[in-house]
Amino acid sequence: MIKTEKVTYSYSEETEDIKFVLNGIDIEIKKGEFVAILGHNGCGKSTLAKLFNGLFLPAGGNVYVSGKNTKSTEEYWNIRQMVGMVFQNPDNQIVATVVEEDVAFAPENLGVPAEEIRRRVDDALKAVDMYEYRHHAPHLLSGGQKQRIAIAGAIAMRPECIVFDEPTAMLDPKGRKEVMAAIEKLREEGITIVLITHYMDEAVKADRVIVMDDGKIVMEDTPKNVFSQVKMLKGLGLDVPQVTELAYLLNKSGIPVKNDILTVDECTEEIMKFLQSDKGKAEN
Amino acid sequence: MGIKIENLNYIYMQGSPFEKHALKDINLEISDGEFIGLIGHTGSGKSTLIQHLNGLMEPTSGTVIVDDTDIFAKTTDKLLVRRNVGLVFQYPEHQLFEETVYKDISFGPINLGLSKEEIHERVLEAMCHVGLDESFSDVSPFSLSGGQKRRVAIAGVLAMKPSVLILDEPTAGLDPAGREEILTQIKALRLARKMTVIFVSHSMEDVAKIAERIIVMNKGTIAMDGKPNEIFRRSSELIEMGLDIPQISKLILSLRERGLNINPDIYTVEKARTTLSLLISTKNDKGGNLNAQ
Repeated sequence: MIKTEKVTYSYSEETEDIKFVLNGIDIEIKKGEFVAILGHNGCGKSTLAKLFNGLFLPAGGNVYVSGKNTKSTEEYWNIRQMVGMVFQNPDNQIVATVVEEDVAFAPENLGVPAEEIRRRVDDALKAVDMYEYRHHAPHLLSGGQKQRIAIAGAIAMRPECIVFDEPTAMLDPKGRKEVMAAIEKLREEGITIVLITHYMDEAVKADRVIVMDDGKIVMEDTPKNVFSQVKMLKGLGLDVPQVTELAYLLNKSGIPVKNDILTVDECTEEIMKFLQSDKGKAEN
Repeated sequence: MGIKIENLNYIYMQGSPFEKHALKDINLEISDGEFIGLIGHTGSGKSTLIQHLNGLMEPTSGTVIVDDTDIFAKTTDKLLVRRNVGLVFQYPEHQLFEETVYKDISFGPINLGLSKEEIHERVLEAMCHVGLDESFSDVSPFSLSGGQKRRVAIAGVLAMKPSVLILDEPTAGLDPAGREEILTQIKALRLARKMTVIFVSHSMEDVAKIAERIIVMNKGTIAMDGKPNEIFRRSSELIEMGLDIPQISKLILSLRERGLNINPDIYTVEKARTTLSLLISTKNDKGGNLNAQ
């Protein structure tokens, strides 16, 4: 779906002492995959996101979307239609005064026929569970609801991939849950998802986690394999889920629990095993 | 500086179809030097409440007494109240406006009409408290990182030398390292300045790390008020109110549901580690003994 080859990017135009925000990024994101990108502020992850649909063009290297180079001017609109984006602040992404008009904005600009727009808007709003709010004014909605409108706006373009740049950073726990539920639903429908986040409990849901530091990819694996590297993640200024940290610390205290625990349920099971099976273990 | 809230009520847009009773008969006493975590989901009334504490909002009925002064009495100087009770809003970095960090932080003290030396002293002290050294003085605040900008904004409030500091979601939108930094600084600040701190958040994990007393708001009332361990042991009620409890509290709750007799007060990773390793090792010792017999 998306492929980057030795991508570099720099914000400074001056020839002397160029500081690269991205330094040789090679990523391949498959169709239907759910990839989470982690890294502390300033590591280059948002810059990378903007390269995925040609909002930014690489200084060196190439980015391909479904085989098309983002540098080619003829494919410009096709690429942006294929890769939708949702940003951090919902208030910056809403343009209209009525929810359904806001969602209709993109397909209207794509020149989609009126009946088709109606269908797309309804589908998109249903997909994020906001259909009954279609006649509401966006500014009176909660943060989580506004963010779901922004997602519906992206879906209405019928993209194959949506890049989410910290979509829950400004939301309360309830809003975060709503948005994550919407993202998981899109994933089930086969849309490729790239999620940039600071919340480890969100990254845990991905198929693959990419960790960035200083413009480079430093880790890339399944959530289980990435999060079990507690020491390394902490060194990169990142957090791990509390239960993962607990498992790591118990291991350090000499209790051999699994170190790739990610959820409360897994942790409960693992700890109960140690507390119940002592008899069985003694017999072994 | 103590704060006393008496029968406080606030109704938004009273008499209109949008009328909302946002605060219902709030009674609360906060003593000098306390470190309070104020939590509640969006719309629970926590932001409305804190805006009453420095007179930004006027109650529909009831009052707030700060240091024996009724702040809503006609004779009270509101400016003095606001100087004493510093309020750091959500995303305070959006309020930065000056050309340099130094100028931005000195804006408040200049308006207090202080002498140049006093202003200089206050600005440098405030910068030091938020971990920005003098080299940042002449830098444009807009060229800084998100976490640094936020610290400049907090320094601007500190330069007013408030005796009560209220922070509304000071860690929202920051990465884990940035969050940790702000939390550590607030902790140190409070010790250095002996301030009363009210920390508003919906991150239970952050609140669990630093607050000494937690006040939980729900639907315009105070639903819980107590020490962190007293609050987190009531985790199922917190979940019902739409709040996110620390993952460790969830784990303890789930272990207890499985019949494990473990202290429900545990809410930090460290505490869980010591308790669980003790439980597991004693169990294993017993198992070993049985085996030997």
